Amino acid sequence: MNFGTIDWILTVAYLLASVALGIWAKRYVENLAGYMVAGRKVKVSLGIATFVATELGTVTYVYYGELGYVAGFSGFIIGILAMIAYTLVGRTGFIIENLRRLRVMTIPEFYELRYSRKVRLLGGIILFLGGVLNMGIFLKFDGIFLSEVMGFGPGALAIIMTVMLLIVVSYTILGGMFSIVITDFMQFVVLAFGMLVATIAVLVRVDLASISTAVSTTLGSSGVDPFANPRFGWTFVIWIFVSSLAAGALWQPGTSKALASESPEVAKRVFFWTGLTFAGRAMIPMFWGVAALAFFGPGLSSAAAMPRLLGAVVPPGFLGLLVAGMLAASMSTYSAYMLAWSSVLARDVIACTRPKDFPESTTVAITRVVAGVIGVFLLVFGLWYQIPDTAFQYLYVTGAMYTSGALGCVAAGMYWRKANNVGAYASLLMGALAPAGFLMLEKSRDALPSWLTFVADVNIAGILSFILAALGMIIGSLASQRTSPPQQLTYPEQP
Amino acid sequence: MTTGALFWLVLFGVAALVFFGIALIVAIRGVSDLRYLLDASERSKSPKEK
Repeated sequence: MNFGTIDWILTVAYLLASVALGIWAKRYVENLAGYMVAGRKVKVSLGIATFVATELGTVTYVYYGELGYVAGFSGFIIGILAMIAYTLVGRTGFIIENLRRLRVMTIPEFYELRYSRKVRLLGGIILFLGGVLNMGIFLKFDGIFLSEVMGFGPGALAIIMTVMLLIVVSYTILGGMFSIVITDFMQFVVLAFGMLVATIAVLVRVDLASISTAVSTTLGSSGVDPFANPRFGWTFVIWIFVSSLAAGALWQPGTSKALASESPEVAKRVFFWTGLTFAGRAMIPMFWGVAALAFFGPGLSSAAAMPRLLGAVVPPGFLGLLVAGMLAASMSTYSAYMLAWSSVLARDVIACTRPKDFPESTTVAITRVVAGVIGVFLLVFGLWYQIPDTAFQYLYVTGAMYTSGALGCVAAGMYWRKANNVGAYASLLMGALAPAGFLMLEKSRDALPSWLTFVADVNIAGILSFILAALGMIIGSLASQRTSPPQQLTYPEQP
Repeated sequence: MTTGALFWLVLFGVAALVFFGIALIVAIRGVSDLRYLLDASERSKSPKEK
């Protein structure tokens, strides 16, 4: 076991502080806007802290570390692409500025403003399914990470992860976005410090020359050239860039940071500065993964190699800081995701089956119940599901189920006057088709006829979803302008 | 060390500096933003709730 008494004290103290702070924040929730978007009073620095904390979970470290171990430096391209996409969204205000101006709380609300309540219902269902499936593997990867770093068996870890989940569920249910923003700030500071400790420990124990040698001897040119690496290539690069652009503007847990911002201008600045950190967000854990390749050599379980390296090189005492940092990262991600998906199910699915919305107090109550149910789902799904390809590609393909159709609907709804209901339905359904096909058919890849095997290629399924969604919107709208005339948006005055 | 590895390691160094630099600034300035959020929320509560 790598964990000493000081490590335990640091970890338990951190967990207790998170619970106390999260529950204390409940006193600031006075209405639905307070619960879901923190009263729209978040300024730039706090917005960046909560955005980075949400987008950096232990699962992020594990899937990027895994890519570093199996693909060397080639995977670093993902960080560059994400940085360009998010800073572009921040600089131009693409989608997020208008969403904030419209004062919506969830993205499917936009569908009702621009299209119809039924489009909002369909968009809400797809967003909820894609989002919850995407989140389903988080707990499994957290388990792998903590088991390797702390040196425990899987039995003890199930208990630790359950306790952590209970803590997150409790403060998310009680305090909503207020609790999330306040705990995220503390979690951001702890996770950044944990990352710094880990990076310094790796640099002290693994020299750069041996990392370079390990990459060139194990992976050859595919370790430094993403276009020569069979795992990546041009299809992958285009898919990840478009997907990052769509996720930057339309991934509910992240976009909710724009919706909680004090103004559209603040939302743009939050996205721009957060975008600049996204190269480091990907490259730092990937670097740990490449260092694990140099330290242990190839042949280890790809997901376990990086955490095992950290367990070996980070000294006792600091290990407690690192684990607290990783728990901080996980808790901030779980809380934001749980609130995002439970808000969508409550407001955009359950409420949309009725002609009118529920009263605010009922919406908050439903959201709280759904957040609890999602917590139970995470435990069950995380234990039995076997992930196809790498975790990174699984996350992007489940994300594409929603983001591809949403990009078609929201971008066309904002910037193309001819976008209508038919186009919106076609875009949402066709966008979900290729990723859903991949998830269902990937396990029977060998039984597929040769002309259909492309569906089981994760990169092709991902890029195809965006092409089909765009075609669905364009063809659907143009073919039905007379039968379904488009309705235009009106933006409210800013207070 | 190969040229390809050197290229990515330099990029990694820059990305890590930007990440930790922004983290430091946000950690310092975020405290006043947090205070503003809590004060503004306290002010917006109705007298009965207070």
